Amino acid sequence: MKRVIEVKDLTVTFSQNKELINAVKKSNFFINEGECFSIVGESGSGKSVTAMSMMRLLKENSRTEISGFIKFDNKNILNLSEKDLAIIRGKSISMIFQEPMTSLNPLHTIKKQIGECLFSLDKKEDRILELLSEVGIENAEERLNHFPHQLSGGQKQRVMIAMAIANNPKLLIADEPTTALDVTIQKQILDLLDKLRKKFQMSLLLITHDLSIVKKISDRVCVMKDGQIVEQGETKTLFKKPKHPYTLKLINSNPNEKKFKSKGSKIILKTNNLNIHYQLNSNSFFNRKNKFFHAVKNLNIKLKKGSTLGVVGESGSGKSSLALAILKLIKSQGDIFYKNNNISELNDASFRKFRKNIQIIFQDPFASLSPRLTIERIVGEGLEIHRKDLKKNEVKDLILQIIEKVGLEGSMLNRYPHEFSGGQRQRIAIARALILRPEIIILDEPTSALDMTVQKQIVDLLLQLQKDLTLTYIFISHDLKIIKALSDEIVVMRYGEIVEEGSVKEVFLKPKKNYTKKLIQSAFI
Amino acid sequence: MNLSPLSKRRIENFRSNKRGFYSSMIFIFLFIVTLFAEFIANDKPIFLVFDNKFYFPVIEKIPETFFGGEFETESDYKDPFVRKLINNNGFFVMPLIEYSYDTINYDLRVPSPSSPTFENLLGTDDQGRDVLARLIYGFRISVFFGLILTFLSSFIGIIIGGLQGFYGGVVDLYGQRFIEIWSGLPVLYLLIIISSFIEPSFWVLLFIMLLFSWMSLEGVVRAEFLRARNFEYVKAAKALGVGNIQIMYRHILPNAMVATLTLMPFILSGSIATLTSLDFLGFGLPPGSPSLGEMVSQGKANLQAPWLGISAFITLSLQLSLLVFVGEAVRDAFDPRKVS
Repeated sequence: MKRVIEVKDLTVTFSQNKELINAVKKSNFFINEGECFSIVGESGSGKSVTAMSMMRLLKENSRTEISGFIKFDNKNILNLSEKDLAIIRGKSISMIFQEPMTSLNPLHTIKKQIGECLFSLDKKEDRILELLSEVGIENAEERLNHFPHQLSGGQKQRVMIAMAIANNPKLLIADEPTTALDVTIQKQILDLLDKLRKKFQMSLLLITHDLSIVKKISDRVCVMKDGQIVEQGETKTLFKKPKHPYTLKLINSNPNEKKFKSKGSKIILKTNNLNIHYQLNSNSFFNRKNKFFHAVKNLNIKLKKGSTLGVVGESGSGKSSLALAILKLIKSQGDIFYKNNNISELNDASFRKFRKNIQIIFQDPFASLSPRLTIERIVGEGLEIHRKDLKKNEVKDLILQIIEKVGLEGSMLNRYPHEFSGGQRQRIAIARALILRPEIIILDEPTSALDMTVQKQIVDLLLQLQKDLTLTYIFISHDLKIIKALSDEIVVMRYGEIVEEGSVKEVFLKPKKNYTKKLIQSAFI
Repeated sequence: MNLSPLSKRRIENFRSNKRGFYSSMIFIFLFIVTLFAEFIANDKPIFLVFDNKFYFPVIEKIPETFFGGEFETESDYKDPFVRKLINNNGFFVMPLIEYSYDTINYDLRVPSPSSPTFENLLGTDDQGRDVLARLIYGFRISVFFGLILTFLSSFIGIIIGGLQGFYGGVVDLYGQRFIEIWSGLPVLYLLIIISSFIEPSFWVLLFIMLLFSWMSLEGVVRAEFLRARNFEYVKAAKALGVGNIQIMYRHILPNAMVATLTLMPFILSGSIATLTSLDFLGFGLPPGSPSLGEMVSQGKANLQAPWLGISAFITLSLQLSLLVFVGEAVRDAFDPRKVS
């Protein structure tokens, strides 16, 4: 088979603050015509840098050094002049990016943006329409004059794809094309990419951290770790017989399922017709006609002590609003009962004493720790408020205890959050929540910002903690695999309403509603 | 000192901006020197020995009769008669410049303003006062004014901006409308009107300027608070039950401090320039006080005496450019994307 592109000894070195960082170390791989080749790796493994250097989007300068050989069309891309590169970029090799929200210019219409990458000028509009219908955008003619903000995330990504295939490229580089999208849309976009690849006989270089995607559409795959390709080969053989221990670790990084049964059936928290409204605009100062977005509609949930309630839904389904409403961080209507207290009626001051019983862990461990406080102060902050009776050394002892409980070391207490990795930060966030001995912990997508192998560790930790301390979790996620691993009962939400609820087994094995079925299908591809 | 790596990096960045670093060194040096203006430029001795005892006329008042003179008022140490009296029974050491900002040189051989001589290094102004002495005192008073105004307006600006940004909603809405109206008030006319019925002293002037200058920081701080109040670590702190004031102080303020500190040198140079221009127009500090603006206006009125205008111009431009360079270095220091 003919090779489209061949990469030999590619090495990329950045120098940062007098330190050399080897982003890519002597990589060798090639892509055949018409095949789908994947690069898999965790964040920081150098996969995006590899892709960027294949289009020479990385500028070589005093801080960046690129060496090696990238053969495309019998030319070495690394030696081409900017002028020659301009011919290749967008025409022979094109690229789509992870974040469709920011990769389209918000000030230009769809027509203008796609038209920009078309080289032939005659019949431009026909070609644009053709492209739009090719990528499955309905009402293409109407969409021509729309601006990016009028499209949904999935549609934006489709427009990006239309731009990328506009000149029938030989190679399409897709850098995490579905990571920012909802599961059901992820599946559609992947199907589309696969369809287009076959139709136009182009090669697809897929960069992803998600092995299930690779397994589904990739012909060959290479695994990167710390800038090095540790293993590459046919997808099927690699998944069947991984040679490198890291590959094995990646493949086995699906979380362990919860093994112990939650006892107890006492209801610790329940909501009664919970409603959440967001005020949309009150653009006039004098004439207030408020519009509302109804984020959560008449929601009733029950939480049993010691169990985990999984809340699943796509973005915009109201699951995070629910979490914030239970914590009284946003306004809501309806009743929330914690044990026998109706906490929805309490004001801020009287609710404060309940706060230590209900804690939250957020999605992004990089955003949820105050960057200017030491770990000791972050973890100990709750004690300052709720345990004023403690002496200084008792506080310190408690902090030490809890920090070891979540698998960190006491010597780390004087450090600042930026010195820790994502997984460690999430452990710190867990420690901060745990130190008050809460009964309920709300976990709002606690693992989705983490790498696969780290995800597994955090899930294991959460399960261990639940077992040891009989914690009650509300686990919010869009990731059905993790929900399945952790939960006892599940609530599926869409547009602020409950679509389906029941025990894990019921929902996963015998989904009643079509939406649930679709979700499960897209998640376990 | 145990500094966080962040502050270490900032200090390093600040130092790596050579121009700003040296500017700040020069500015601090000048400020410290002018702080002791009384010991550098004064018409009183730094110390004197009389009857084998030490006296410090700069800080204590000694009547002429004490030395055996005739008047019970404070001694005039420029008077040859008094000098003789002291020398009879001890000695005295005069400062480097034997004039204070309001000492009038009565021994001029030419009508004032007189050109530079060894006695008056930068000449005298139109009332026969030593220009160099007035510059030293003028520098000090303007930096003082600027520092106090900057500090107070930052303090008020941060509090109001923080409250507006943190609580948002109605507080923010009415706050912003108030500021829009307030910032529309003509400050200059207000000052002219006020100075027509009370004599604007240092503190009155400071107060009036403060009424309006707090708004320069308020917007930035408000924006930072608005942004930060939805950060996850702020939500996490709320979920822990941390009080609002604690959250603002501990979690959000450090974010806003970066913007604040970056703006501060520019506010400082802005307030100095405002004071100078008010003095120039004659609505500033009370007559007689040493002020750079008054010196500029004297220079304008006496074009035949260029030493007035030129010395005032050089002092002012040096002072303001030093502050702008320091401001640039501070901005570099807090720039997270700056790679050294």
